[in-house]
Amino acid sequence: MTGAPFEIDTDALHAYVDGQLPAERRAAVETWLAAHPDAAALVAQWTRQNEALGALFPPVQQDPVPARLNPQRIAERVRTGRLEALRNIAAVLVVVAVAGSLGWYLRGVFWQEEPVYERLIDNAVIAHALYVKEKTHAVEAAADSPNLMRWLSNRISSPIDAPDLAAQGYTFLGGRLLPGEAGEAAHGPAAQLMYENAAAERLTLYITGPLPDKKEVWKLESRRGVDAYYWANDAVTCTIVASLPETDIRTLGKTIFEQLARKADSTWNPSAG
Amino acid sequence: MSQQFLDEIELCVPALRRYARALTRNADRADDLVQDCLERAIRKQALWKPTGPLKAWLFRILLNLYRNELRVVRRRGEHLAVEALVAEPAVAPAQPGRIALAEMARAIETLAAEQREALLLVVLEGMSYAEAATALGIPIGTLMSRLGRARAALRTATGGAEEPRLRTVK
Repeated sequence: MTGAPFEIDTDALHAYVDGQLPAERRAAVETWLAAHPDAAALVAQWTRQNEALGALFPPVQQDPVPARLNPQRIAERVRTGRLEALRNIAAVLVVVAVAGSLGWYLRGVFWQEEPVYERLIDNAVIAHALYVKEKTHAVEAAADSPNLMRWLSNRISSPIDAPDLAAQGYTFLGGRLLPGEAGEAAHGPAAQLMYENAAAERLTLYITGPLPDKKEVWKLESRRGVDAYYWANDAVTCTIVASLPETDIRTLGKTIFEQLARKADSTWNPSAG
Repeated sequence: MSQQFLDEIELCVPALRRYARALTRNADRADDLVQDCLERAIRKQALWKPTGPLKAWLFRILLNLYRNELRVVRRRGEHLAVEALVAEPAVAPAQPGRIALAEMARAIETLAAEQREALLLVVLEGMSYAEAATALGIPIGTLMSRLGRARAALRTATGGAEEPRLRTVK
């Protein structure tokens, strides 16, 4: 590399071939190549490669640029696309808002709140399942406890007597006081009365004061493997829970509800059953 | 969107098209690629720092799109037909020592993708090594070694390897 003003290495030869050297360095490389025929042959080969590549992939300047490659047009499309996207988003937001408020507005129409008695029946069934199994503590106060029914009547704020089910073969065992529910469905505490027949089959009555609507309702259904017969009027609600054939439970219901209604001194309409 | 930005992009379109054609060997695919590249550049204008060379940035976008496309095609196992070259001339070399274009067309196919990308960028676009390295997203030293390997491989593929080898030079 004698006489070269800078180091002539492979990179310099590449730069020479690719026309990336300033004039004085070009001249220096040329001088050096004259003295190095091997390198000169290589450089010539590279140059021929470049020429071939250039010819193989000629410049496209003479080709008219298609409209789709016009940056101005693309920019316009991008701009309108963005505007459209914004419009779409806005439209979606409007639809969501309208649907949302409509739904909120209509919720009262389509969404019926579960009636309070549904929960009363549930509570009656749960309490029944809990206490009928008990042998010695099935009731809080036995049937012969003094003032039992007055106590329960006071606590549920409705005058009740223990219905007499002797004709159906059931003996009154006694009763207990159960907590009511808080919140909107508040119905105060409940009195649970328990009966038993000769076959040691038990049934319970779950009695509360009247619900706010004071409507007369009848409901017979099976829940959690037992039958529940619910009745309410303007003075009292009562859920009979037992495992009995439907005719039996209806007969029981008739006499129980009749006696409760009579005691509460409210209107009694046996035909409604 | 600044008009100047769009004007500058417009000046790069012929170079992008030429490079894309060389990469894809298919004029339609090349223009699709350039169109995607321009759209992306215009959408991402905010990401371009006006201090850097716009041309290198555009080529970088183009290369990324091209590589993504290759990856997708490879994953799908599709075979893309390579169109006959538009300007393929007679097979016989015009002069002794000249490389026949058909021969070069075949030879360039044998290069590793990264070598082909580097060589074409330097040779076709006349990009400075620094600019080309930016466009390829590699250090300049890597660019030089890819260039060297590409030229050596082309030499072998076009039969130039029988000519004296360079020994005296590091």
